[in-house]
Amino acid sequence: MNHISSQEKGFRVVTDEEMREVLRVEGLTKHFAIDKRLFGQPRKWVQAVDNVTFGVRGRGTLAIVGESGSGKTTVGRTIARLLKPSSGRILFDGNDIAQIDERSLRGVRKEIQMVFQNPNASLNPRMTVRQLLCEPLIVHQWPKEEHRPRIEELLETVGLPHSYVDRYPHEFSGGQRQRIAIARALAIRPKVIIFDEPVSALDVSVQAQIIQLLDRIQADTGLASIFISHDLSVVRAISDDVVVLYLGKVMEAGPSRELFGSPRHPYTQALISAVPKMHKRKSQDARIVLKGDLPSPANPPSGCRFRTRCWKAQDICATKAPELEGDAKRHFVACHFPN
Amino acid sequence: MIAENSPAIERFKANKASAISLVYLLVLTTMALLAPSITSGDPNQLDLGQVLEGFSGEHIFGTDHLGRDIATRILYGTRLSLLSGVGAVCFGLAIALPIGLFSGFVGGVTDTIVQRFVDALFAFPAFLMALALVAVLGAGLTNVIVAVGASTVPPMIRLVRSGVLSVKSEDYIENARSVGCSSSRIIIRHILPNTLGPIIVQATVYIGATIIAAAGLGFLGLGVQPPAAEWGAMLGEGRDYIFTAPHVLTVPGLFIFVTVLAFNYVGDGLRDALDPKTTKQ
Ligand SMILES: Nc1ncnc2c1ncn2[C@@H]1O[C@H](COP(=O)(O)OP(=O)(O)O)[C@@H](O)[C@H]1O
Ligand code: SF4
Ligand SMILES: [Mg+2]
Repeated sequence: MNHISSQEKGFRVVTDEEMREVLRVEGLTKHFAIDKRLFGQPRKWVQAVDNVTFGVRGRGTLAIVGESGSGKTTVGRTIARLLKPSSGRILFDGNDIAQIDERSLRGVRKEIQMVFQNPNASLNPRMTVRQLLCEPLIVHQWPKEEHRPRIEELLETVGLPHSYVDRYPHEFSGGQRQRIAIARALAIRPKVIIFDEPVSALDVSVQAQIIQLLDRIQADTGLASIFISHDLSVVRAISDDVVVLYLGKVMEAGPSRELFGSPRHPYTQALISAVPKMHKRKSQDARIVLKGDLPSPANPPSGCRFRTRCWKAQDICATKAPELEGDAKRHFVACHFPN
Repeated sequence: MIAENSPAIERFKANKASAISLVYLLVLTTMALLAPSITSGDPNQLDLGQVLEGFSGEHIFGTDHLGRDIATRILYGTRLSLLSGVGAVCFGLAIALPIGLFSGFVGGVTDTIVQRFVDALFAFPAFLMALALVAVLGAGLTNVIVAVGASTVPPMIRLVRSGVLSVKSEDYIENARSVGCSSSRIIIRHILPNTLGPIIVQATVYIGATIIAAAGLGFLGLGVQPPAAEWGAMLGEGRDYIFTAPHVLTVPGLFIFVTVLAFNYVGDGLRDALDPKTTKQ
C-alpha cells in the first residue's frame, strides 16, 4: 500500500468546525465474561478495551492501530453501540450515548455507521443490492420517492454501474462487495462512519482503489471517520489522528504527523520499524523486532501491559502502569521511559 | 431461493432417486386432485355382488370386502393422506417457527427455559403424543392434523432454533443492527430467509413421517372415520382378509410405503441441492 501518496492536509486552513470534536470517547472500557453462567456473576473476564480516551474531529479521520487482538474492533463496535460499554463515556454531539437504551439508539444509528472487515460476510446473501441499499432508507423512514434517486446516487458514489442493482452479493468480487457495504453505510448520510479494517480481507490489487474511494468520499461529504487498520502505510496516508492500542490500552496517541514523525512509545516505534518503506526514512535506528507473542488479554501483564515484549522495560514497568500523558501538541504517550 | 441458484436445481436433477420421487409425488397429487373425473366416481359405492375381487380391467386394484373399487378409494385416500401429512407439518411449523425463532434470537434464560421444556416433550415418543392428543380431541381429519402436527413441534423448534443460532452470529446480522433495523425486522428479513433452506428440507422429510402417523391413527380407528377412504383406515378395515384377499391390505400399504419413501428422497435431494458446502459461491 505504499503507492498511496500522503495528502498534504496540513496546508489547508483548519476551520473551527473541523477542530471541534464530533465524537469523544472517555475512559471507554469493555470487559467480556468468558465463563458465562446461567446464574450468578461470571468470575473470568477478558479486558478487551481498558480506559480508552480519544476524540474524532469533524471532517477528520482518526485511525486506530494495533496488532490483532488489541481491541480495535471492540472499540468500534462499542462506539457504534453494537455493544454496551462496561464503563466510560461516548460523547456524540455532546450527548453521552454509552448507556442509552435500544429505543434511543435509533437516533444514534442514523448518525454513526459501521463498515465491517469482511464484505463476504457482512452482506445478507439473500438480499439484492437494491434491497441492501434501500433498507437503511426504509428503516429511517425516508420518503419513498427519494429511495430510487438515492440508490442511483449511492451506486455512482461508490463506482458501481446501476445495472447491477438487482444482483445478489455472491455475484460480485470482494472489492465490489465492499463498495456495496460502503454505499449501505453512507445511505442515510451519517456523520461518522467506523471502518473496521475495510480492506484487509481484499486482494492487495484492489485495496488501493477502496482506500482512494474512502478518501474521495470523505473529501466530498465532510464525514468524520474512525479507520481501524493494522497497515501503517495506509494509516499514515489517510489519517489526521492516530491511536495506538495494545491489549486494550492506549499506548500512544496524537496527530498523525507527530506520531509518525517522532514516535515516542517503544511499541509504536516497533510497529513503524516493521514497515520497510517507513523504516528507510529513519534508518539511523536499527529495525526493531518484537519478541514473543501477544499475551492473553484474559491475563494481561501487571504494570505496563507491553513490558513482556519491551526492550526498555525496567523494574518499575512491572509494578506501576504508566499514565497516558500529553504535551502541547496533543501528543500522548503511556510509558515510563518515552523517547 | 432456488430460482436464483440453478446449480442447485441441476444437482437435484442429477440425484435420480430424488428426481423420480418428485415426479411420482407430482403425478400422485395431480391424480388425487383429478380423482372425481378420472375414476368411476364415488369411493363409497358399494357393490355387494363383487366383493374382494382381484385385479381386473374394470377394477385395476380389485375391490374390498364391501365391493368398493380400491383404485378409486386409493386416489380419494391420497387426498386425505397428503392433506393430513402436509397439514400436520404446516400446523407444526406454524407453532414451532415463531417459538424457535424467538427462543434462538433472544437467547439467555428465556432460551434455556424453552429448551428445557422442549427436552421434556421429547421424552414422549411422537406417535404416543399424537395418540394421546387424539384420545383427548376425538377422531376426525382436523383433530388428526392437530394431534400429529403437535407431535412434530418439539423437533421442529430445535431445528428452527439451531438454524437461528448458526445465522445469528453472522456479520450481516450485526450489520443490520448497525443500520438501525428493529429486532423483528432482523428476524423476518435477515434470519428467517437464511434459515429457511434446512427447515424446508426437514419439513419435507417430516411429511413422510406425519403421513405414517396419520395412517397409523386411521388403522387404529382413531383417525379419519369410516366410510371415508383413508390409507390407514383401508389397512385397518382390510386386516380380516389378510389371508383370503391380501391385495385389500397390500395396495394401500404399498402406497403408504412408496409415498413416505418418496418424501424422504425428495427431502434428501433438497438437502444435497441446497447444501452450502456444495453450492458454488
Ligand atoms: N464477544 C466477545 N467475547 C469474548 N471475548 C471477546 C469478544 N469479542 C472480542 N473478544 C476478545 O477481546 C480481545 C480484543 O478483540 P478485538 O476487539 O476483536 O481485537 P482486534 O480487532 O484488535 O483484533 C480479543 O482477545 C478477543 O478474543
Ligand atoms: S513503561 Fe516500561 S515496559 Fe512499558 S513501554 Fe515504557 S519502558 Fe516499555
Ligand atoms: Mg478486528
